[in-house]
Amino acid sequence: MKNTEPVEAIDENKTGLPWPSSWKGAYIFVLASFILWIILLVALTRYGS
Amino acid sequence: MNNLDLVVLITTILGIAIYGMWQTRKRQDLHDYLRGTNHAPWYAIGLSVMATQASAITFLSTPGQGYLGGLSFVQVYFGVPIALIIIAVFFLPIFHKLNVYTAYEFLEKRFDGKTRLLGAALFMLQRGLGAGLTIYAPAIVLTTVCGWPLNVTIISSGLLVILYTVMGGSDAVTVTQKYQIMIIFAGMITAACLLVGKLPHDLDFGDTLKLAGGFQKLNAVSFSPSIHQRYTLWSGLLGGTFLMLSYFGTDQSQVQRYISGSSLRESRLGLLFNAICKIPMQFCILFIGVLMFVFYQFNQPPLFFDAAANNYMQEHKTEANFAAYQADFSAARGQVRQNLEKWIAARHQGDQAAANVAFTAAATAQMSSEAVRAAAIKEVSEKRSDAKANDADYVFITFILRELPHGVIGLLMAAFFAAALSSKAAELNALGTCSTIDFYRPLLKKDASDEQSLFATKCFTALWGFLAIGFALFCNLSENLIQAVNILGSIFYGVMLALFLVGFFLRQVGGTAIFWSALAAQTLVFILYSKLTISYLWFPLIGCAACVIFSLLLQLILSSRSNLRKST
Repeated sequence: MKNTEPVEAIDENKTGLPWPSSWKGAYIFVLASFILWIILLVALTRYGS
Repeated sequence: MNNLDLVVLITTILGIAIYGMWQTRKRQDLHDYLRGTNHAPWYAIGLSVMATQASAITFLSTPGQGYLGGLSFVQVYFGVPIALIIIAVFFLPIFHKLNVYTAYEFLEKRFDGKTRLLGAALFMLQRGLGAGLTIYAPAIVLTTVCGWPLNVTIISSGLLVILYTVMGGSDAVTVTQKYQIMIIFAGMITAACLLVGKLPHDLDFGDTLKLAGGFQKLNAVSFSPSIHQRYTLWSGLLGGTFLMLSYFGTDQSQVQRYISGSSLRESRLGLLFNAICKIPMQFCILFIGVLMFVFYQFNQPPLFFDAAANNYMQEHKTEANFAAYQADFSAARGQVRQNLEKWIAARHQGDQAAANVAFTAAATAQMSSEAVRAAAIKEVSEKRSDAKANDADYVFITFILRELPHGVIGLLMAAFFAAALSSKAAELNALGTCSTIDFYRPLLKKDASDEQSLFATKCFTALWGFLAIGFALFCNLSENLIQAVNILGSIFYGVMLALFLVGFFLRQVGGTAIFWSALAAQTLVFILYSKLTISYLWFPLIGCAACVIFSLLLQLILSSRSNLRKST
């Protein structure tokens, strides 16, 4: 029953995107955008109060 | 709703379901049925993960949360980016390497059969209960909109999702979700654009933010250290991370979505796509609620948004009390509008002192109108038990029906329905898979052929669908819908997460220790939930921490006993 297809031969260490090409870069990008959102939301909260 | 809306609704929903069935009509292989044909690119995985999490409740109830409570609910999702990175780094490579169909297969490989069964049972218990809620929500909407009997709506939507999920399996879910999420986005963007167009023309973007902020609707982030406050930065970051880690990492309805990627890379990118998009998406949905709040400062809102309470009010409007409530409410709303118009004029003339006076007067009138509403809600609730005036679930649908043109109403109904079907299909697919792979094959029929397993999966999927319909028929909620779903998950997810975290990171803990610790920790969570009044976001953290600590202690005791036996 188990999948007998061969494990993919593509390079799993690369994202395959033009940018960021490494996974480390991709994680940093996600965290940076998250922090940016927090900052924007805090600024919005301050603006409203 | 008129005929145009019905045509849009029925064509969209049936069209996507039929297309999904037609595309996946040749799936007769067990692997393809359970995991898909492994051709899904990262964006299809990402949209599928997004559509699974975003049920009709998300789009129906969240704008109402924004209207009533402002942006604070967005903090629940602060854990998503962190959780998804952890899953992409640690969980996903293991699931791919083991080539599993369900996440709980890992538990047997790492611990033993009983721990796998416990993990699968916890998932099926909470997801089976939650499945009823996801079918209940759109049924309420259509009942309110069309006046159809609630039971007919629940049964017809339930049968449709059962049909295409049973026929096409995992690929049918992924294929239909891609188009369902497009309809959802189209509906929400259209509603937001029309809403902006309906705001007063002399109200600019800065005025809108100032007005919303003045009524505490832009309270997106709270730094309060109180554990009794439901949504804070800390509960979102800590509790929310554990809740999302549990949901995305251990809930089969999500795991099945992202392990169906054509490679580890596609699955990872699909998860990271959600890590980036989830907070902005939730913010936008909540902000629609905030914009509705601003809109209703210049337009007369109903005394209640809740359909049952409103109907009761309409039936008894000749009674002296209700007539007085309505008159007082209308008068107070009129004052709010007049004062806000003065505020805008003063602001644009640069007269800050006059603006402050006008805004204070508007806020006072707003408080008066809320006091009238509260008194009316109290009276209705006392007189009629099914009219609880749970407004959050009805704010957005009331706005849609009253303010948007025909055609768009149909599109939004289709969006709600699409959201309900997309998450429901993923749940049923996961429950059917889990029932076969984790229970049927190991316990009931160990020598089952692939054909027998495929037939069993289809039967289990249908059975879970019928159970969800049954649960929805008897559903009666006191909580706001979206919170009810999150609360239910938070009770079970902590222990489920602990099973995996201990499996990944604490090599010394064995099957017996983790099994009994998980049972003890789950019991502790049940007790604490009934005794404590803390935010539900903390329960995944508590359940997870308790299970990890118990397992370490129990393993220590078991190891020392074993050593003692060996030495004697």
